[in-house]
Amino acid sequence: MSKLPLRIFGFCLLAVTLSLASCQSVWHSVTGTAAPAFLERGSD
Amino acid sequence: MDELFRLGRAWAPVGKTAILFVLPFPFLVASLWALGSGQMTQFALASAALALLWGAGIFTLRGLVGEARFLLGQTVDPPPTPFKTLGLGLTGLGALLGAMSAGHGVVGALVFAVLAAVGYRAFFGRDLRPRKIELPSVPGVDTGEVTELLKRAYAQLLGIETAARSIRVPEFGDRLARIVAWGRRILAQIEENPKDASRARKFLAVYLDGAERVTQQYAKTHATARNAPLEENFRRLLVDMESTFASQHAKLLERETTALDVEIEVLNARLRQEGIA
Repeated sequence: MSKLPLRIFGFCLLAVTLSLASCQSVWHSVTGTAAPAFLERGSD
Repeated sequence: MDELFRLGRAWAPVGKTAILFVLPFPFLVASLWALGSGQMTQFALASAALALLWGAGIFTLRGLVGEARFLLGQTVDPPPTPFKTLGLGLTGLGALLGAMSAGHGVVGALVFAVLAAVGYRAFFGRDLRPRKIELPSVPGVDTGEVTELLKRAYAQLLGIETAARSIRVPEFGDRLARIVAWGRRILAQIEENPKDASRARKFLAVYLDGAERVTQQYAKTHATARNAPLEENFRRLLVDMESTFASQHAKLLERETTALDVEIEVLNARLRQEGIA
């Protein structure tokens, strides 16, 4: 059975996880907040 | 060009490790910014995440290089150190610290760690295990030597299989698959009865070695460019090889049958002597 679908799934999961964590880390360092303000509840 | 193509197919998986070097790059930016702005905790977390993920990349690279060499038949066993398992651990830990540097709490960071670990395992797979060869002890047979002989032979069969994948003529691929199957049957026979190793020594040293060299040479020079006279020669060679492998297997079995016949005859003689048969 081909492992290609599994490899593609793994690639996407790993890529999304690492990209999200690293980009959020940059945001956190630059702004000192955990997430962009427009994503926070109750923001204008 | 053909040689590059053939080697490229075996070494391509090594390029997969790029994901572990490229994607964590923003952590470098985050750590430098945090350092510049005096956020020491943030700096420590982002730097640690970067170091762990790049460390995971290095371990994974070593593991995949070792696997490529094993699959090409250049080494007898896959790497003994479980590099991918180490890489998995470092990736999970790196993702955990990276998520914490992104401002996530412990639970959120753990979720990131688990997702990264699952993605790693799905993408890179498990470490290859060396083939377990357990020989029964037979008086007069050096099982250590026979084990080494078998390991080398299995590696050569793997080398033939890998080379066969880059040969574009389907008929040759099928013939090589059958030759490898005969080879595996012969080695399984030797594993069952290590005494057969001495009888198969010429086969292992000459035919199997020759089969590996010829197949790799043909794959190297004629993977894509077709040449009718050379194809005909290679076809005849494959037919001869298949026949040789099959007859070697039959010879090993014949010895088993002959030995059994002799035992039955001896037993019958004993029974007749005892007045039972």
